[in-house]
Amino acid sequence: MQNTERTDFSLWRRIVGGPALAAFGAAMLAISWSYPSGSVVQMGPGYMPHLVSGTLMFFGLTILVSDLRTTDSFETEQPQWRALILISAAVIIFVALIEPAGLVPAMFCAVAISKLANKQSGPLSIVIYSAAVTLAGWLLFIVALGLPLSVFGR
Amino acid sequence: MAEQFLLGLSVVLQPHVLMYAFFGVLLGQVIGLLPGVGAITAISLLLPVTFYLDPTSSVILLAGIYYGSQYGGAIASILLNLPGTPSSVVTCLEGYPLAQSGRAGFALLVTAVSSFIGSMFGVLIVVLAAIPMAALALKFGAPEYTMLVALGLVAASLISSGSPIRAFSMALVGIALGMVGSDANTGQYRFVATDALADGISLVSLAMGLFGVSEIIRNASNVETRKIDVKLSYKDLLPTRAELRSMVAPVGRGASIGAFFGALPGTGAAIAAFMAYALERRISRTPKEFGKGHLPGLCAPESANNAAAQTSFIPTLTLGIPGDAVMALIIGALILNGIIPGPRLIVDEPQLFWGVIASFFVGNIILLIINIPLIGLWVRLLSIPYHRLYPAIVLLICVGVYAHRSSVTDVVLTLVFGLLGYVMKWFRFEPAPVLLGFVLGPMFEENFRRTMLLYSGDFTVFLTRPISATLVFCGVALLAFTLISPIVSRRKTLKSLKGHGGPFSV
Repeated sequence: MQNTERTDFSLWRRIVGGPALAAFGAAMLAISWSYPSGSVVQMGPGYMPHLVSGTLMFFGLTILVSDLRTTDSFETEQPQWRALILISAAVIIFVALIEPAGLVPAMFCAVAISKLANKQSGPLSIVIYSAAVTLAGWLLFIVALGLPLSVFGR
Repeated sequence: MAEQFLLGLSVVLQPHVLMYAFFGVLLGQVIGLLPGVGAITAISLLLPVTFYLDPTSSVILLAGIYYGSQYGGAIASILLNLPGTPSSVVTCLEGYPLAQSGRAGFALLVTAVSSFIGSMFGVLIVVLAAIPMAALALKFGAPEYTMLVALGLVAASLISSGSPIRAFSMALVGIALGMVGSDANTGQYRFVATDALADGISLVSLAMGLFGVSEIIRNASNVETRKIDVKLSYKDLLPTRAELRSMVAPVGRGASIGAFFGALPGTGAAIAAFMAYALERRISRTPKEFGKGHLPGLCAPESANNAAAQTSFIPTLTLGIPGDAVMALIIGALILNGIIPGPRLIVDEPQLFWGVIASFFVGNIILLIINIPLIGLWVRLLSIPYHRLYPAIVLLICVGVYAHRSSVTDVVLTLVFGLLGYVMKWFRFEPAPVLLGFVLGPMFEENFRRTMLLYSGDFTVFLTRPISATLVFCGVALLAFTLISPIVSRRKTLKSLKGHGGPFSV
């Protein structure tokens, strides 16, 4: 079920993890730089962001150091690029269609594209499956739950 | 106490409420047994739906999914050697060998009954602890809340399966994400990149992204290989008298461990199950039997994770402080329904408070009833291939997030968090603390700022107030305990378990 295997914690993964965290902290500090931090008694909106971003940068570097030293083997997964791209595409299509085209086209396209992420599905089965799921979705969201969404267009 | 419990029962036994309780545990059972779909995903999917229900039914429904999934999780572990939920990882160790030796039906019966006993013990503890805890909580001021939230974050980081510093970093990332929106004290916008973020990041999109979308990406391309090679025989379904006797003490110990770790903020069902298994192995007179279908190793963790699933509601309902990511979502559901969780809940909303607790009692009875006779149905559900399931989950996530606030930005953010949740695991970061930090962060900031304002920046207030000092002491003791000792041996256990495969997220 899981695409995992036991491999070494590869070098690039060791190098990227900590600095990515530190970069997140740095970006946070940069954005919150202008927020007044106030004093301990009268904390401003910037106090906690500055504290948290500083700690994140510190931890990021600490993690980098400890990752470079570790010799642990670690269960890693093969990157699932196909799934990553197609699932992302499905969500983006949904976002693009939901307001101009309405719920039913958005649902159908999102299901069909995400179904492509698995190589086992042939074209006919994708169409049938997507139609069935769209119908079920319409029954669930519009008929049963009565969500205030437009079915086709605005 | 009996009186309040009866009040709760009268709430639950109303037909429409009972229906939601039934629906919740049924869904939990199904979610638990399907590997790759977790309780967090299911609860976040239903979070927008609860907007249309009354608050009591909402919490009963969502809670049912959570403890129901603890039952279902064991089925996949026993029949497929694939844990359906993280807390049933250890169930594979004894359950699968037992099933292979032809006693699958027996193993399922044992886990269902152990789960039921553990749950009932947990419910009993919740009922007994509720009033004293809520009374104690009324004495809590800002310093106590500050320290309690801090303790929850520290405990969640220290007792995680990975490195504490990584887990704590992820909690900090969650705290950072929780800051988006307007500052509660001054109203100034923080990190508001677009207007759509003015109200902050939605809990629904964070949870569905981190857990739902990332799990789908991880598993979507799987070509199915799983097949149930275990025959369900109802031969020797019932335990012998000697077997029965060998299970009594482990179930009791498991329930106690589970009740303790469940109530402790920051730890939950998965940790309770590991601890119960490790304890059984350590005190056993026949440690070599473990891994071959040894009964105490099967029923203690099952009893523990179910007890923990119930007692984790103690801090959630009495203090308004979620102990883990699932409880964070339950708190979210209460807030969405306009109810402020905290010590006033038991006084202001007795119907909700006791109704939810009584629903645990009723829900577990329903679970016991649906588990054993319907086992054939559960096995058939297990054979649904994941590729028939996941596109429908993509759809539920998209529509669920969109319908929540009618915001396309939320859907895009869900995708961003999904990619984040997928990629972060490459670098050994776990997503669960992010969600906990997201919910606890604003609570921490608000109470910390209030404390400093009230006590003019005097940090000793945390040590001079008795309850707060006790919490600080607990945190320090936990830190010392982690640094010094037995955790080393526990790490080894965890490592040996990790090789076992299966989803290790919450």
